[in-house]
Amino acid sequence: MNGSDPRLIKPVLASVLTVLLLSLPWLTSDYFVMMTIRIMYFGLLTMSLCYLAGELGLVSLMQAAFFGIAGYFVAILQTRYSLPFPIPPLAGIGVAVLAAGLFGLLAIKAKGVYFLMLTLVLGQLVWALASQWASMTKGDSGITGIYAPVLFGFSAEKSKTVFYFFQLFAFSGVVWFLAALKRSPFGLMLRGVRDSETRMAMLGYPVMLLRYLAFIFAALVAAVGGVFFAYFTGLINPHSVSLTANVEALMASILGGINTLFGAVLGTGILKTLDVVLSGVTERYVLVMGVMFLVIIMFAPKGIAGSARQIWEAYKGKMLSFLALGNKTAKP
Amino acid sequence: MPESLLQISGLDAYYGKSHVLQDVKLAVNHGELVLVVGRNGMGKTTLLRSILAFPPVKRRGSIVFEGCETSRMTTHRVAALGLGYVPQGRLLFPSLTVEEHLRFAASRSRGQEKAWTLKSVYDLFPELQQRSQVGGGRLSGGEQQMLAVARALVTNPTLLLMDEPSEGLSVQVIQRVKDVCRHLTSSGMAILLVEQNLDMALNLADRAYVFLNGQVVYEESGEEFRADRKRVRA
Repeated sequence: MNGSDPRLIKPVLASVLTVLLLSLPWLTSDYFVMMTIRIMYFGLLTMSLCYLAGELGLVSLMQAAFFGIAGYFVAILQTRYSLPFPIPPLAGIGVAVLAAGLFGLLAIKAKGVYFLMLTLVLGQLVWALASQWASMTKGDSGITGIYAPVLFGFSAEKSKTVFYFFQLFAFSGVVWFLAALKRSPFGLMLRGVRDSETRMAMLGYPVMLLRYLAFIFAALVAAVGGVFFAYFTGLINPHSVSLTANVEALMASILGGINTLFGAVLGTGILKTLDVVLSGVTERYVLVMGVMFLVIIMFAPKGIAGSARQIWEAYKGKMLSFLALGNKTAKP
Repeated sequence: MPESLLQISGLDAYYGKSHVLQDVKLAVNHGELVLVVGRNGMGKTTLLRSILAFPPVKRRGSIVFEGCETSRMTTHRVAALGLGYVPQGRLLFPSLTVEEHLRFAASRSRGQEKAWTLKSVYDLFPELQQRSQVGGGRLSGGEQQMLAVARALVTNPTLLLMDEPSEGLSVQVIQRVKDVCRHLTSSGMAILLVEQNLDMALNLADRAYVFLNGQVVYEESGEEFRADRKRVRA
């Protein structure tokens, strides 16, 4: 078989990635595993934002609220009511989805800057609740003492490797779900809505319902991230539902590219890594990152993943023929 | 007499204060092609929009489709009853490929017997299969029209509403559209065809209505209509 068959590239890359991800705890240090866990749960928040921005052209400033609602519910149900696993995470995700159902009724009719403003207000509402309902949320100091569960006799709290696989399992499930959703007739309809709402409405599609469902699905993704955040850090405070947390996810999505799930994870990965690396090198790391964003927005508006894709599309032929040539010369 | 598939009576339609359709009475029976003709601005498109309940049009009167009164329904409910719409200007989506247009429309397919599938519309329009991975914005006018028809067909409608399908097409493509219309009615589908191009539609019609200033001023069988037209020309 020809090694340069373009249809083989995706499965080969996917297999390599799977092997790498499954063997990561044995290949790298605990620190790297910890970073990957962080990238995964923040990546879910970014994906949630990218899903709405990419599929519907709507930028939401309240995805962190769903992330935080799920986290807070895990914290409250576990520390205050001592409910056993898996009730707290399932209830947390359920409540975040319900909240999305409620807020969605208000937000989804708005478009463009009005959607941005409405989600900003609703997000701030959740933040104010987290910060000021101190009897329940312990105010600005937040809730501590959240422990990751014991799964099949393995404690995710004590072992980073167990936690890593627990999160990898959920993360892969969500990625698979979003990818399937994007390819489904529902996903195609959403793209139709993004192209032209009027056309979709004229063809008899319930545009508002489609937008509403997309908003709920996006919240679900953010909520899964929030559960793992609470479990991994053992702490939840109003910062996790704040505008800052949402803007960080927005920056990650701009960096990686909003149109692909891969871009969301890549952007989060780069952002979180730079956060650690640059802050160790200089105190003015925020300034360095600001300049970097400026460069990205000016020269690669589709983000790193988007630009890489464009370059790949442009030079695909050349690269494949180069690979094919390599194959031929390698044979005796 | 058997009940009509679509029965419109006493229909008044308004855009704001503008009274566009006035006391329209019209029927489409199973498996027939009904032609609505009239010059620009006579209310033909408004008639289709009234049937499909598009929001800016306000309606009064009765529109019964397959025994179901639709005058208080929303567009997506009406569409789900089995009305396929081939809009004027085709209304395709640039970011979706031909196949994606068909896949999402097919998800709304109704009934147990799904006569129209992706495969059967590709059999009807082989050129669409060749262009299945091309975006909706990069098709020729004829291909766009075929896709618009195919997209309506995969929902397996009982009535197809076609708004000026010959607009902007070459003579050869118009002939193709006519052949498709004939094929569809012979397979039992009803079509309500709104046209300005009388030459295109004349031979197809089982019955015809002429609209003038939002009113039906003429209603005859296709044969009578063709005979009348000959007489007028002579």
